Amino acid sequence: MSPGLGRTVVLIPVAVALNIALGSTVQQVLRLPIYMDSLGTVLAGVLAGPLVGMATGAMTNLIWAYVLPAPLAAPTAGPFAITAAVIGLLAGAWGRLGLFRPRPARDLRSLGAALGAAVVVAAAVAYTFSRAYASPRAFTTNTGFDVRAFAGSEVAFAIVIAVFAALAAWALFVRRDAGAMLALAAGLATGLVAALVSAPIAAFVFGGVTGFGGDLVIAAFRAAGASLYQATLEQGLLSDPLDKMIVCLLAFLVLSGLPRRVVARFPNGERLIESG
Amino acid sequence: MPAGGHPHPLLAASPGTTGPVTRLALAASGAGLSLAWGGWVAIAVVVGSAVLALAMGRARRLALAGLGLLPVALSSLAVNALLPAGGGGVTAALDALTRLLALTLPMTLLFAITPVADLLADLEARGLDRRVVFVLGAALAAVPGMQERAVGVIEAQRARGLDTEGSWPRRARGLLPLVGPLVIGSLVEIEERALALEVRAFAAPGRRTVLRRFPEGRWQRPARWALAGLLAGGVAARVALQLAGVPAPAWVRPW
Repeated sequence: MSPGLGRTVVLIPVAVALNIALGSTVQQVLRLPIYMDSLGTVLAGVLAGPLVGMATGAMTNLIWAYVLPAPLAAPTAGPFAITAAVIGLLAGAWGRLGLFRPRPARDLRSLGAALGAAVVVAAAVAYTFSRAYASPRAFTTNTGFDVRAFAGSEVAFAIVIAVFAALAAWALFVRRDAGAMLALAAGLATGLVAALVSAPIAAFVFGGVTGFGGDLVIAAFRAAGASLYQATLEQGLLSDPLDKMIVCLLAFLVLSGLPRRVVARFPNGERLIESG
Repeated sequence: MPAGGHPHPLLAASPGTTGPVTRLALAASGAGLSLAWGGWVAIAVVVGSAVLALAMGRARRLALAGLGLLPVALSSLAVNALLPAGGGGVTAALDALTRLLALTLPMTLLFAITPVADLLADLEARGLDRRVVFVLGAALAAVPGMQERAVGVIEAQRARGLDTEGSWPRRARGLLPLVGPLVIGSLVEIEERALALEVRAFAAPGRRTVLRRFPEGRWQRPARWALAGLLAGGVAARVALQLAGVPAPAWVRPW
C-alpha cells in the first residue's frame, strides 16, 4: 500500500466524522442557514480524488441516518447520500484541475485566471438572465416552470448572484488570492448540480419537505403555482449554491492554512500547493 | 447486546438464526421495496419492523428513530394540508411519511440488533476488502471523539471572546474560528494515524486469517439471493411502470 493510499484510508473516516460533527454540533451552535455537513466530503475529494470524495459523501449520509443512535442520528440524511456522493465526485474533479491551489495575486497570470473565471461566471449569468428572466413568457418557455413562479425565481437568482459577487470581491480585493475566486466558482457549480440531483429525491421521497427552514420556501413556490418538483428544484437552486460556495471557500481557506508538507503527502497534494 | 451481556435468544448466533449479512439483506430489501412502491408495501415494512423490534426488546430505539422524523411529519402536514394551495393534501403527506418511516425503521432495527463489528466481520469473512472494513469501522469510532473535540473548540473559542449568540453577521464571523481549528487539527493527525497503520502491517500482502465466523444454516444463502432478486425485480417493475406513465396498481395504494 503506497503512503498516499494509507493516508487516504485514514482520511475518509476523519472526513466522515467531520461532516457529522460540523453538520450537527457546530450548526446547532451557530444556527446559520447553511448545512455545513459537506466540508469533510469536499476536503476528502480535493485531497484524494473523485472516488474518495464520492465514498466519503455517501458514507457520511448513510452512517448518519441509519447507524448512529438517537439523538445523534439524522434519518432524513439517508436518501441524500446520492447528492453527497455527487458533491464528493465534483470536489475531486475540481481538486484534480487544481482549482483549490492558492494563487496570491502577485502576478498577472494568477490575476488573469481569476478575472477569466469571473468573466465566465458573468457570461453564464447574463446568458441565463437573457434566456430565463427577460420576461415571464421567456421564463415559462425556456424553463418549463409555471409563469406564476417567475417573481420568486428571479429573486432567488438575484440572491445567489449577489452573494457570489460579494464573496468574489472579498476573495480578489481583500484576500487577494485568485485561488479563492476559483474555489468559489467551483462551489457555485457544485451547488447547482447538487440542487438538480436533490430535487427529485426531495420530491419523491419526502414529498418536498425535509423538516427544515427550506420547507417554507418550497411552500411559497408551490403557492405561487409551481409543481412539487419545480418547487423543490427552485428551493434547492437558492440554498445549495449558497451553501456549497461557502463550503468550498472554507475548504480553500483551510487547505491554505495547512503546512505544505501535510498537503503534499495526499494523492492530490501536488496540485494543491502554491508553486514557487 | 443488552446490558446483561447475553444476547436475546432470537439473536444468539447459531445456524438457525439469521446472520448479520442476511439481516442486512432483509433490511435493505424491505427499505428498497418500500421506497419504490410506497403505500401498503411501506406500511407492511413499518409494521413488520415494529413487531420484530417489540419481539427483540428494541422497541425504544425504534421509537426514538421514529420520533426523529417528527419535524418532517409536522412540516409535511403543514405544507401539504394546512397552507392554502400549497400542497398535495393529507394523503400526499401520509404517503411521504410512510415511505420515509419504511426507509428508516428497518435499517435502524438492523443496527439495533446487530453490532457493527459483527456485520463488518461477517462481510470481511465473505470477501469484503479489509481496507473498506477498516474505513467503515474507523468512521463509526471517530464520530464521538470528533463531537467531543468540536465541543472543546467551541468552548475554547467562546472563552476567547467568540460571540455565538448575537446577530447572524456576528455568528457568521464565528464560522472560521470554529471550523478552522477543528478541521486543521484533524487533518494534521492523519499523518500519525497512517504511520500507526503502517507499523501494524496493515499494508502487508497476503490473506488474513478470519478469526470470527458466524454459523449459518443452509437456508440463508438461498434466502439472500431470493431477497436480492425480489428487490431487483420490484424496483425494475416500478421503474418500468413509471416510465410507461402507468400509476401504481390500486391495491398498493391505501389512500
